[in-house]
Amino acid sequence: MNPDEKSQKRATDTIAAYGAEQSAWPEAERGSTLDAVQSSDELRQILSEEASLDSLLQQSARVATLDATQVAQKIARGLPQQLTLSQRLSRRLEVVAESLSSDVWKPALAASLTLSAGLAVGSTTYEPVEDWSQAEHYSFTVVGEEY
Amino acid sequence: MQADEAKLVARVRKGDQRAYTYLVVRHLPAIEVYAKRIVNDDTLAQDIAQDVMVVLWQRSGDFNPDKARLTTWLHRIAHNRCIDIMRKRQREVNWDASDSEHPVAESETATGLQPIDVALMRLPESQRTALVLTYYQNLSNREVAEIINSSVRAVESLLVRARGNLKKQLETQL
Repeated sequence: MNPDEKSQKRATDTIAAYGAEQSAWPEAERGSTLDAVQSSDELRQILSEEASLDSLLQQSARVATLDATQVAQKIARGLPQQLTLSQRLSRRLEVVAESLSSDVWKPALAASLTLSAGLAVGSTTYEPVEDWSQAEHYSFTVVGEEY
Repeated sequence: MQADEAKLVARVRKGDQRAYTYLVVRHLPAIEVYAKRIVNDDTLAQDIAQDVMVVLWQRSGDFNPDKARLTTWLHRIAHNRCIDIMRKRQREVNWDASDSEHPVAESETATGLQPIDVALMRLPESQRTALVLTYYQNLSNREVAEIINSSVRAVESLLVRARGNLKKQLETQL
């Protein structure tokens, strides 16, 4: 088979498989198929027959009727995602990372600083006004009396 | 678009319902019509299409954007569901051996379908699948081969036979 016959055979096969619409032909073969069609009456005849079948294929009455938004909401709200262990861990880590990068930590830090400052001031400046030096003695006495 | 979809699927994986809704709106109609053309039962096809979207929500981690487009992945899931259902249906119904390859009931011609839809349903399942995926779903021959777990050459052979069979069936209209 010479190269011309070979390319004509391939063009015939392409049209027989994918029809007459050029956009349906494999991209890599579009140019060579078109060239072969232009130089062959037989291929033009085949192309015309396939175009008739293509127009019948276009008459298909199948249409989509589901409400896609409703389907998506029903699934997403009603079903849990099935994640692998590594996906679950990575999601937890992302949540932690996000909370650290957000402003959530600022009020918590402010509260803990205020508390620390209060404790520091209280422990250095507080002076008891009563004499508790005998407190240990009293407590032993009270315990001892129970026996 | 492929990169966009990979990002959207990554967001779905994190539980982003808006990204999920966007992808369902984009892909559900095509999957539903594909299933209708393959199983020839609207209710069953809608169940299959919704099942595919459940997989997208629950197991989006299984999708690898480096290996396939999202539409190819979804079509492969739909294809497997359709095959399972048709095999189950064939086991349940005691088909006559001569009818097993083209399960078209007489009543189906009276449900408002076009002659082309009836002719498509009379094709053997493998030829119908190859033709529908290529012609109506606009998938490349490589993608179709991947979905039906076959070679590009085998897909082309199925397409040639499918179109030849359709021409025979629709002779009077051509």
